[in-house]
Amino acid sequence: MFNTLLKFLSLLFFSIIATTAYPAEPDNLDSPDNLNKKEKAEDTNTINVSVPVYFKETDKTFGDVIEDLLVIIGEHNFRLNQHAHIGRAIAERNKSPYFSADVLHFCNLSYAKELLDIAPDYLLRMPCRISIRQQKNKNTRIEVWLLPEDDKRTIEFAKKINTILKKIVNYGAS
Amino acid sequence: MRVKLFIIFLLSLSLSPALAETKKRPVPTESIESQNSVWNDMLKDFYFEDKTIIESDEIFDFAVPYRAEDGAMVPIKITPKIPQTKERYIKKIWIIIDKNPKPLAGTFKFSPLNGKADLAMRIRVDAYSPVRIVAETSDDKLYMVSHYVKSSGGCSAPASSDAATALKRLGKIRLKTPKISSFFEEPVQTRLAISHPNTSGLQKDQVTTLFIPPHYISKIEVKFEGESIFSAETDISISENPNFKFYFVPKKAGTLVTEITDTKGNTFTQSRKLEASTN
Repeated sequence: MFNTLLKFLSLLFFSIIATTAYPAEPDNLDSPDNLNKKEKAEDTNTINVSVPVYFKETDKTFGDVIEDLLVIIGEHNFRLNQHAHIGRAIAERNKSPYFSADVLHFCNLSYAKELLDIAPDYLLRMPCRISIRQQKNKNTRIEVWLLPEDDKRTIEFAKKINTILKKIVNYGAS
Repeated sequence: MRVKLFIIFLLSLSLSPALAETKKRPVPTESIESQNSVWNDMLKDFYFEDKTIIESDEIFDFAVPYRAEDGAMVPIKITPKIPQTKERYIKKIWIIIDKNPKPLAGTFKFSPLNGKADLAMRIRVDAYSPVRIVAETSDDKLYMVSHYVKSSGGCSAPASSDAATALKRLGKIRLKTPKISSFFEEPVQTRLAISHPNTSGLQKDQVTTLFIPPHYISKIEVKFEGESIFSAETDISISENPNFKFYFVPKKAGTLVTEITDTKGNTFTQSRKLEASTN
């Protein structure tokens, strides 16, 4: 009897250790109820999501805009993950001029964790990215994807990050 | 025997929440003494000899992320707590990163013309290290504040822009000031952006894998109507495309002249008129 009780308590003990030793994965927050404002399309594997875009246009040169964006991204403690020279790559491959078009990917792991802890489905929106392209009128257009501010799970976080993203775009254009 | 086992089991059970708690918290890897050992054993005497340094944030403080995402671009912002008056002002600032190959990132000189000695830039941090700022006031007192920064590889990280682009833009100076409607006694924020790869000598060419020779800005001088409003001597720990934010008081219209010198002896200059905007 005592042996059985000891075995049971040992099992209970190891279960407690196993569950507390490692951080638990976030609960499945991606339930249909949580997919706020996301509409399911006819194809059940597709979710239509609206993505707000913030943009600015400037008469600064393309190079100045890129350099300023790299500075301000660093000042906000983000790390540049990738600098994709898409326009230049197309021009080089086709051996003909093409408009300047770059995409900057940048991330801050502390912010990433904060968001993933509350909404794991936002992983697809990571890292942050900004596109910079030269327009026909020679102006440079900067665009950034913002986080939706109507998702009840992430309203506070979205407001905080969107403020930073807008500051980055504004500095690039100023 | 069984009773003993049962007692051990109960003790373990009571300790399990504590165990779980330690797993969640970051475990400090270095003691305070160990963190400051480079400073205490070498740097303090090397840079300041036997001068007394007051460890206090009564004159200034600075912000730097505890965990910097990119060691090659760690933002740092110094905020003084005293205005720059003729009676008392900050006249020099040292930025030191203890565990960088060359710890002194730069020295920066200020005067009452700055109005306030705020300073911001991005620096390279090569290993987990204290970053310390030493400020000398006009009464020859030295004050120091340090913050520990977790980051690494900043001095050897590859440049964010390719060599061809960097060479094309080499030495381009941009001085940004806000639109001034009238000249007055208030300090205005000024941003000095210099296009320069500022290579540290520890970065490798991604194709040849050979070290890229050091080539960085060593001297900066900004004058307004002939008077120095910002001057600095800098080293490899300043990030590529150096960008400084500082203040000065434009009491009248005039010309801002910037002169930059790098370690290859190149000199880059730019002058810009500062006038009150009518719109």
